[in-house]
Amino acid sequence: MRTSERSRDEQFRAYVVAGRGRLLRTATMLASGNGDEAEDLVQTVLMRMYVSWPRIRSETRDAYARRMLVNAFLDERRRPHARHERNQADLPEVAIEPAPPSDPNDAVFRALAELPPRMRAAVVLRHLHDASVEETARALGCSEGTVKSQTARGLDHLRARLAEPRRETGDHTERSRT
Amino acid sequence: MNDVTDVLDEAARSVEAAPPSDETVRADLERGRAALANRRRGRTIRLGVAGLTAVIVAGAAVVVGNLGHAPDATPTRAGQPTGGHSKAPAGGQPTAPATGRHATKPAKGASVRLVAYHGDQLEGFVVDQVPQGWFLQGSNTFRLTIAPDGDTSSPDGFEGKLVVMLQSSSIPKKLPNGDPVQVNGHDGVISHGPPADLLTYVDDAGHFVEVQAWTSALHWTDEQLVSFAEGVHVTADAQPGVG
Repeated sequence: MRTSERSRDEQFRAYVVAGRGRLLRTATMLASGNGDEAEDLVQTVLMRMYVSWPRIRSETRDAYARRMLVNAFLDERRRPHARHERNQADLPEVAIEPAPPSDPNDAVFRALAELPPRMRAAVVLRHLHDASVEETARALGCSEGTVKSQTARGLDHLRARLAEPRRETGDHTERSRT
Repeated sequence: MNDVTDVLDEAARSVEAAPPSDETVRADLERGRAALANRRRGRTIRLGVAGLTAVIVAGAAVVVGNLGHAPDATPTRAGQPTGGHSKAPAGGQPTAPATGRHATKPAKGASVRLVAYHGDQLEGFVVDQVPQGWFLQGSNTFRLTIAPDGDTSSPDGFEGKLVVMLQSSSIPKKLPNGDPVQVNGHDGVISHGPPADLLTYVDDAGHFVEVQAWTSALHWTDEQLVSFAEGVHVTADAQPGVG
């Protein structure tokens, strides 16, 4: 193996050891708690990073990885298999009433899943990575104004949704009394 | 309730962020190496094809120069295809005809080569070539599904298949991120899987066409994916999906 290849492998290996966990965390939030999708996203990003390794500056690797992660996530959402509605001869069986989430974090992931992909990405980048409006706009390929409005609307939606379980519990109590 | 950002932080912290195992790191490294090798192989093939083309063109020029306007220069045989629906695929692979809706099966595990398609065409999209041993499984105005012979699953399931459709009308008409390519002289990009490679390009009529090739089923290079796309014709019936 050539020296440059060995050096690439060593640097990449060190980066994966140190940064994979963080990437997986971000990917899990983007994928609304779907661990399998998050793992796929991280694998895709790391694979692309390895290919582009000599072109990625060491001081910007984390930002680069986040940007690639967001791109991979948005690309995945555009794929036909992710968005295509399937025709079924029979109606699927569904629960009459969804069970309340046992883990409070499940409620957060469910609420996140209701956000459109770009809005979700804006919320995750701004509020989990403390990315600036400018950085987020660059990562999403949109204007700073769009980032601000998307983030605000996303947070409003999350606030509303995360307040709902209590109201639902209250309603059930009322109903059981009558 | 805490502020929503605190709740988000808490949910994020619940995700395991421990250092990965040696096995995970090794697998990431192997995937990266394989992707790099694949890219280099594709580049070598491109250079090889370009070099071979240059040699053939130069050779032809010499022959034509030697023959001048000689009346006994070999004529084009009657009935010999001169383009259109019998295009040779990329990579210098020979093109065998596929008749009916099926083609003969190739060896397992290798890249599935393209063969000329002469069977019945379906609604929405017309194709010049299909992967060897694959058939037109079904279509409607939104998508054409091509599957390996013997696949009896629904054409609405895309796993392990080749799918042609128009870009959704719900997203802005633009090419996504990916590796730039040219399809029939128009811009396109390939975003690589797994699980599937997605080629998005603009066709002659301005349609934003998407071709999704399941990586583990076809093992295609970018050139093969582009070659297939260059034989796709969107008919007036085709419509973009929503969502």
